[in-house]
Amino acid sequence: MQSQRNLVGIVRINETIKQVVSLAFSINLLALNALVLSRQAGDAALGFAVISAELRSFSRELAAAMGAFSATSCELVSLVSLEARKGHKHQLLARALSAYEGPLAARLAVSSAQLAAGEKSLAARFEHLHEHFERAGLSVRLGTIIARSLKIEATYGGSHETMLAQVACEFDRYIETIPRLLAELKHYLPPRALTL
Amino acid sequence: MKKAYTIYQSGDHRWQVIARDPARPNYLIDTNEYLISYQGQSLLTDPGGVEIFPAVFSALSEAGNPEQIKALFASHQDPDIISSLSMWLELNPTLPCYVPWLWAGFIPHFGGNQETFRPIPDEGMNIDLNGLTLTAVPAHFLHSPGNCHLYDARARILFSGDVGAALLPDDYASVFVEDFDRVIKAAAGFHRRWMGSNSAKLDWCERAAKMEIDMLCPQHGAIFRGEDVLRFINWFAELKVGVLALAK
Repeated sequence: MQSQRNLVGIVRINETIKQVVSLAFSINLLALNALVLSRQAGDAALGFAVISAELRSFSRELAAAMGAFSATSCELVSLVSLEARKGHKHQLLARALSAYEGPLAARLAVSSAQLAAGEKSLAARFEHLHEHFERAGLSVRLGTIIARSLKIEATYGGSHETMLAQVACEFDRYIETIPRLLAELKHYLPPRALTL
Repeated sequence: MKKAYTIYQSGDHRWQVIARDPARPNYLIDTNEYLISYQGQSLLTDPGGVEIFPAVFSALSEAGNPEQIKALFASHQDPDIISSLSMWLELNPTLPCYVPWLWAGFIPHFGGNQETFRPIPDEGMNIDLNGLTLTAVPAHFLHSPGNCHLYDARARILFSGDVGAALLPDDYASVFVEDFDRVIKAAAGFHRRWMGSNSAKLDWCERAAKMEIDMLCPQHGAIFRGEDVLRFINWFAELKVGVLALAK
């Protein structure tokens, strides 16, 4: 049952990762647009242009981090399925051999050992997932700070202030969505000490 | 739990049926597994679905030594026939499994590898069980397009897969057909729907009628013996099956 919950959790994690990647793509496009706008605004938006370029590289880093997250998560789908199948087989074997005392009973110990090894390897993969999650969290925190700086820079935009502020708010809206998605994602991660 | 019943014994040559599982969940069809033993080695026919593996194994180990099982025989590819394959291989990874060649690429989805499968050609083949010759008899399209029965000429017993199968009520305790008409009633619908071809059926009936069969052992239901064997073959020959049975 635990592995079944894990499998459902991983599927949801993958879906959430897709949403974050899609946001990173939108941030990238918006940053490109912001760079064009800052060029039109001239000297008054020089700082805005620098921060927009930072946001652009942030979006690329976030997409790459989520890509690595997704790769581990996809690997886990097949591993968890395999372990679930092994677990079910072990249960059937244990039931079959419960009243049997011949030499074939030794296969149950082999099956237990295989199951334990599988659980260990699964726990290691889940630990990777936690590490990816932490990295993504750090990256997003940086993104939030950059987005705030962009809002500040917009106020120096002179006659273009309103337009630049609108763009900065748009960034803020995108970036603020990501921590909520990551919180959802964390909900589906099994606790670190109890991964299976 | 399932129980093993000896239906034939001559010295070291024995047929046992593992049948009647009152404890099985009612959404699973009941199945008969047959253990053919000869001089300390056994072959298990249609070993059953993965969910009933514990029941089959327990019944087998109560009745004998499951270590003596040296081969499996799958009449066709259905899950109630052979989805327990991976469990049997868990106990003995080198156990060979005889299957109609048509399914040799499909059944591995239940488990096994290239070394596991012994494909049976369309025309059938002999299988050696420690000196006893068993013959895989073609029964294609009855009901699967690649389907084989298993004949033991020495015991005069034919394992007939789904041919002769009947969906009997739970209170039918005997492993044998005690009341032909009652069992045939339970078999008619099954045969009309599951047997695909009238010409394949007639061809099988013609061949079976010429064989010396004391017991006809289906994978579901009860075992026909004595005169009931030919009675069944004649009844089956007359029955309209497959698309003909569905035609308005």
